[in-house]
Amino acid sequence: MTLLRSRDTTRLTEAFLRVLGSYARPAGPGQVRVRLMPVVRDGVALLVPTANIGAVPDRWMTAHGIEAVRTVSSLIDARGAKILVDPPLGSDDDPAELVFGGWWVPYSSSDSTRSPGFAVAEVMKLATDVTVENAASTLHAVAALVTQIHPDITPRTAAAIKDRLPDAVKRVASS
Amino acid sequence: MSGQPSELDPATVLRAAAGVAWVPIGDEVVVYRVVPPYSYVLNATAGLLWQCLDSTSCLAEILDDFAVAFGADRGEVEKDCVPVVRTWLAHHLVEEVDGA
Repeated sequence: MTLLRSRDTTRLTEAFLRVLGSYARPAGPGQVRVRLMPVVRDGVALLVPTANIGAVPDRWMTAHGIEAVRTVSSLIDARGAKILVDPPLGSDDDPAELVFGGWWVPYSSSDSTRSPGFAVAEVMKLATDVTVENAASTLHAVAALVTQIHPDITPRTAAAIKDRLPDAVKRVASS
Repeated sequence: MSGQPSELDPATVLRAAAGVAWVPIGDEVVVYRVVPPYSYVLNATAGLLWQCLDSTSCLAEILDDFAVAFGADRGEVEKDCVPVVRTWLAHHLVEEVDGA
């Protein structure tokens, strides 16, 4: 999986440390960690599959007014509909907060997000660290988020992603 | 399906198994099993049946209530619902309540 392609060692190091930092912050009550990364405009984030978005260069994102927070997972606080961006490992910074504006789930051969229930099932495939103890809390958090914003299917190709992403991010930022 | 009980005692009282969480959403119910991780999406009728497995009511009582609620033949209700419950048992989504 490509997380980031860049010659900027500072950016590469930050992404690497952010990934490490994400493992140090498990989801708490009312939170869910999903294997999606934020792409941001005006403080509002669209969560997208890292594997798909990894092929889209940062310079293309920047040219379209989008900032990609390169990481492998995102922590969502369902109660506040906020995304808590993991600071890089070793940083004393508090997690930055982004508004949860939408999400794309990986492409599936079936029309698997057609109903809220199937959308919850798709998102649960992306949830990490689900245990017997936190399964109910995680499932309820995901259901609350799906009720608020129904996920879309990620376009299958990099070209299709580039085609749809700018408008999608613009839409969530203005909603 | 292998592993499912051939008979289901009408006096059986069932509940969600350990390690199984569920949530109603819209007119569906999502049932999530932690190990191995998997979600089941139940439609409105199956979801209602699921929510009736409350650790208290026996299967026969639930089917009686279903027949009344839907104005359906009791035998048809049993024919429709019992295989569903057997499937849930086979997938370890529900378990019998001991001593009920």
